[in-house]
Amino acid sequence: MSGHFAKPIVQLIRELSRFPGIGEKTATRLAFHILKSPREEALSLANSIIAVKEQIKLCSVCYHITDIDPCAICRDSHRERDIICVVEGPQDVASIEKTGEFKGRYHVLHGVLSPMDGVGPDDLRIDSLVKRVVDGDVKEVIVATNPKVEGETTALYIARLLKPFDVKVTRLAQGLPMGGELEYFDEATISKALEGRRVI
Amino acid sequence: MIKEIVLENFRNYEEVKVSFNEELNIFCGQNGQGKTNLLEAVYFLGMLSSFRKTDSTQMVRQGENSFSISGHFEGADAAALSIEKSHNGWKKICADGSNYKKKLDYIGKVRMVVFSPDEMELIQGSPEGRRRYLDRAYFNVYHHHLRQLKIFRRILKQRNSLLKKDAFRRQEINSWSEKLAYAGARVVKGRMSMTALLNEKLDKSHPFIGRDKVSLQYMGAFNADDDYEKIEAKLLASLFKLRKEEEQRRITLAGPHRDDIAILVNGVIAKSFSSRGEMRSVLLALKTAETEVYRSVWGETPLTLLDDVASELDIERRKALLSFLRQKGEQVLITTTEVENIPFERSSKDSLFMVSEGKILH
Ligand SMILES: Nc1ncnc2c1ncn2[C@@H]1O[C@H](COP(=O)(O)OP(=O)(O)OP(=O)(O)O)[C@@H](O)[C@H]1O
Ligand SMILES: [Mg+2]
Ligand SMILES: [Zn+2]
Repeated sequence: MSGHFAKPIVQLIRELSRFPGIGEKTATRLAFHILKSPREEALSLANSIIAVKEQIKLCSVCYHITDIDPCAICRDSHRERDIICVVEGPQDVASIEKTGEFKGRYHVLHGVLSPMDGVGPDDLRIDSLVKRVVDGDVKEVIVATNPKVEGETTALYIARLLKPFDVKVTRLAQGLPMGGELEYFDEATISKALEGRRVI
Repeated sequence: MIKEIVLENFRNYEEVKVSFNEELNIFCGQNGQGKTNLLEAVYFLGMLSSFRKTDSTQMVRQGENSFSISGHFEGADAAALSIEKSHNGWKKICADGSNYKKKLDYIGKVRMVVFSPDEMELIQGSPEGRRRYLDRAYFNVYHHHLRQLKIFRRILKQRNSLLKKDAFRRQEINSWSEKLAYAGARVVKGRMSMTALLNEKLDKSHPFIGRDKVSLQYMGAFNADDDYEKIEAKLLASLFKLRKEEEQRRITLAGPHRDDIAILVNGVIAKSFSSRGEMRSVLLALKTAETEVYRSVWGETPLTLLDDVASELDIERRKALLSFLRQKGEQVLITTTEVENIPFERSSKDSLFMVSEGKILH
């Protein structure tokens, strides 16, 4: 149906429908919303997209997304240095930060082990985690990957890698329902899971 | 107990409603009229899968886009079930007014035992069919079993994908092995529990089945009293031992996906039996044992679906089977081509239905 529109709008619809959860219908609606909106608003949107690509990088310590390196969390001297919480993605950092419960630092893996999707240890920030543990004075690593098969196996993999070192590796308590995504849990659930973590 | 079912555009039914009686419900009709389809619908409503080995896309009535089945129950975990499926997939899975996104959360609210000619596969067919049977049966006892099986399968799939790669880290495959052994142990233990439950009932064999002693044996490197840790350790050891071979063949070679369940008659594997009649008796023994397991676990009689037993059992056995079920006040849905085949005395708790070209007449 988008074939009936002028080229620029067809192009925009095509771009928008690449977003997760957005089909052609929604993309068309969004495209027309942008078309109708004031010029400044549309430009501001375009600029934000450019800014996110040009200014956001990964923290060289924890691999969280940031505009300054090291990131605000890694810079914060009030945060404990000896405890690292390992998460799958940047959104998980946000979920845990919201609870206000965790005072340590993070390490963002950017994925989980999943051979069928071609993701192995080398595709994740695992070696740098080991290096952080070896170099630093880390006492505990909490692996907060999702309680799905892939998240569990990644947690186990990390625990086995860290075994030779003097560090406690824990997993969030099973307060999290099996097969869930950390991102979608409320703060109370995550807080409870943080409290009851267990050693792997 | 199932009280009523309504089908729309399911197989050869355009629209049909059946009100069931408390005990015996006989569906009589010539070949190809829709008798099995009706039992299938009842089963499908409860399990979201068929006991037949057919592609479920053919379930939609020819020329239509979707089918729906809904039913009312008594004494089950839900009073009203209702589902709708189109060529493109599920449109509705609903129990007592709540919609379900995950099939695993929905299925099993009605416990059923099926006896159909297809089940002969259990004895003659591949180990896969027997594993499936045991998994299903144990699911009826312990719903969590299918979840564990699903987790196991996911791990297996991942591990096999890894083995397909030309290179991987030792620790990576080890982690998947550990996970596989952990999940696998839960599946194995579940199947062994079901084997034991069935054997306990098979021991007290029923006269109508014959004098032969039927028993099951879970074929794996395990002992009946092995606990989770023991099974897990054995699985892990097998994986370790098979590592070289696995890397050559690029597939997981140990685990519950390779186990078999032997059906023994007087201590001999039933596969080698020649008489179809004898095999039917074995199947009957299994099914009645299954019924009794559910009865003792749930304190309730499962719904029994008997498809075409007349062609499968001689008159004496049919009589005995029905009186066994009747004695327990079981609700039975039974199909037959000729009503004389079913030895029954009319009572207010029994109903006879005539099935003809997708119509059901009381
Ligand atoms: N999707 C469908 N649309 C229309 N008709 C269908 C569909 N699927 C199956 N049928 C028809 O249903 C009939 C088979 O019904 P069913 O298997 O219930 O027969 P039956 O009464 O059990 O017969 P038998 O005594 O041979 O076992 C066949 O005529 C088949 O063509
Ligand atoms: Mg039939
Ligand atoms: Zn950082």
